[in-house]
Amino acid sequence: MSAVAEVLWTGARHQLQTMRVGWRVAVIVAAIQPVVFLLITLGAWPDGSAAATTRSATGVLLTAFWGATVWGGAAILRRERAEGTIGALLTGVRDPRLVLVGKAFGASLGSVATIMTTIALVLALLGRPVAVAEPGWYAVGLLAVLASGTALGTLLSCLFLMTRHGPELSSALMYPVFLLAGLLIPVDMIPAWLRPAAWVVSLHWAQRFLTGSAQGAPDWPALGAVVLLTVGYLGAGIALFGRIGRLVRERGTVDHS
Amino acid sequence: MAEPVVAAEGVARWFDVKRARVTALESVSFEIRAGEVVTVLGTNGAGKTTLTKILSTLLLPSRGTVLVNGHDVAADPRGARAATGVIFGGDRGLYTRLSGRDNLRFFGMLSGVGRRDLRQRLPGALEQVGLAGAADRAVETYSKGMRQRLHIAIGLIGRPRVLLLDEPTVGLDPVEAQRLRAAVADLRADGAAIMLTSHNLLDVERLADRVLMLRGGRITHDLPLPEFVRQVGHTATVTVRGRGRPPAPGALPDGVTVSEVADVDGGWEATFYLRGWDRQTFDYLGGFMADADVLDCAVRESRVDDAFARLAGAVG
Repeated sequence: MSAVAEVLWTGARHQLQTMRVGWRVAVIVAAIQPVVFLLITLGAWPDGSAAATTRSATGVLLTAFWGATVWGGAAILRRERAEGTIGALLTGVRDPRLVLVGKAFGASLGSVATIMTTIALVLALLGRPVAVAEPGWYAVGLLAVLASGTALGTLLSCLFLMTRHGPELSSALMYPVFLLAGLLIPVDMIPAWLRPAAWVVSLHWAQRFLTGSAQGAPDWPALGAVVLLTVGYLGAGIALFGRIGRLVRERGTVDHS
Repeated sequence: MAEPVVAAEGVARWFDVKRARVTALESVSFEIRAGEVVTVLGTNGAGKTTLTKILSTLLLPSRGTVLVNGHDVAADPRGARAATGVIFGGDRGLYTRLSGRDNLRFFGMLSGVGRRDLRQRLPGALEQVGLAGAADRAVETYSKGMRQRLHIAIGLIGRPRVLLLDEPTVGLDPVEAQRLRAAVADLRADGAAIMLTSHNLLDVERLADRVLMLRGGRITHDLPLPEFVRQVGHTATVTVRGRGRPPAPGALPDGVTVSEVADVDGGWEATFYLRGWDRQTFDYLGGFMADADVLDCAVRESRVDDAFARLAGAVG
C-alpha cells in the first residue's frame, strides 16, 4: 500500500470506528431518516411499480446521504477541535489534508452503507421490487456519490471550522438542499428562478445519472457535472484546509490539547 | 560535546490583539544537545507555552529561527515534526470513545510510523506505560492517570530525537509520576534531546540537566541545575524553635545570615540561612543552641523551588 493510500485508509478506518461507537447519531441520520422518507415517498406512488420504487429509493438515498454528510463528514474538524485533537492532526508528520479526506471518505462510506442497508431492508419488508436496467452504470453512479460526499464533507468541514456557527449552518444548509436540489421533489415543481440553485449541488446531477441508469438511459452530461463539481469541492476543501493550517500557525489559535 | 539537536536563535513572538501588540517571547536563544534534559521554568504568562508551540511547529515565530534536528520549524515543519514527540498533561487530546489501542495506532500513523512498524511497536508501547491490560477499553473509561500514560505512549511511539514535555506529570499519582521520570531518563540515555515544562519542581530536580528561566518572554537564566539552585543564595536553611526568652543571635560568622527571630505560640523560632557548612557555622549554631531552651531544630537543603521563587520574584 502506498504511503498516500495508507494515510487515506487509516483516516477512513478511524472515522468508521468513531461512527460505530457513536452509533446513536448514525441511527437517527442514516437509518430512521431514510425509513421515514421512504414510507412517505412510496405512499405517493401506491401502484408499487418497480420504476417508481427505484426512483423513490434513489431520491431517499441521496436525501439521507446529504443529511448524513452535513451531520457526519462536515462535522469532522469541529469534533477534532472539541476533543482537543486538532493540534496533533495539524502538526503530524503525515499530510493533515490527506487525513481529513480519508476521514471524510470514511464518513461517506459508513453513511452510504447504512442508508443502503436500511432502504434494502424496508423495501424487502414491504415487498416492493426495484428495477435497474444498467446496474454497472448505477454502481458507477454510487461511486460518484461516495466521492462527491467525501469532497463535500471535506469542504463543509473546513467551512464549519472557520465559523462559530457550524451547527446553525448545518441546519440552514440541510433543508434548502433537500428542497432545491431535486432529490425528492422534482426540480420542475420549484419556481423557475430557484432552479439554478440545484446546478451547483453535485447530488442533483447524481440523482439524474442514477435515475437515468436505472431506466436504461444513463445521463452522461449529468455524470460529467458530478465529476466536475466533486473535483471543485475537493480542490476548494483542500485549499481551505491548507489555509486553516497556515492561519493556525500564524495566529496560534490552536493548542496541543 | 554533542551537536545541538534543538537550536533557537533570537526567537520572538508577538500577537496583535485589538490593535495592541502583546509580546510573548523576545530574543530567546538556547540550545539542547543530544542526551540533555532542559527544563523551562517561569510563572504563568512567562512564554513557556508559546515556546513549546513554536518548537512543535504549531506556531510560527514572529522573528528568529528554530532548528529541530537541522530542520527549520518555519520553512520545513514536516522535517522538524518527524524528529519531534510531544507529551502534554491533561484529559483532552484523545479520541475518548475509541480504545487506547486505536488512539495509539492513529496517532502513531500521524507521527509517521508505518503500518508494519506500528504493528510491532504497539504492544511494547502499551506495556511500557502499563496500559496493556486496558488497551481495548474506551478511553472515556480511563482514569486521569491512565489518560496521561496514553499521552506518554503517543509521544514516544515515533521514537523521537526531540521530546517536548508540557506538564507531563499533571494528574499522575507519585508511582505513575516516577514511572514517567524513569521513561524520560531512559530516553535521555538513548540520546534524545528533551525540553520539559513543568510546575512540578520535583520533575525538574529529578530530570533537569539545565534550567532555562523565562520571565516576561525573555530568558533570564540558562544554567546547569546545581548552579541554578545556588542562585537562591544559600545552600541550607536551619530553623530552631525554643521556649522561654529567645537568645540574641549575636555576631554572625561569614556564610550565615538570619532572617528573623519571631515569637511563635508562646515560644520563638529563629531561621538561619547558610551559604555552606564549615567549622565556624557549626560552632556558631552550637553556641546559639547551647544558650537556649531548644525544642526542635530542622535543616532543609535549598532546592529548585527556593531558587525559582527567589528568581521569579526578584529578577527583572
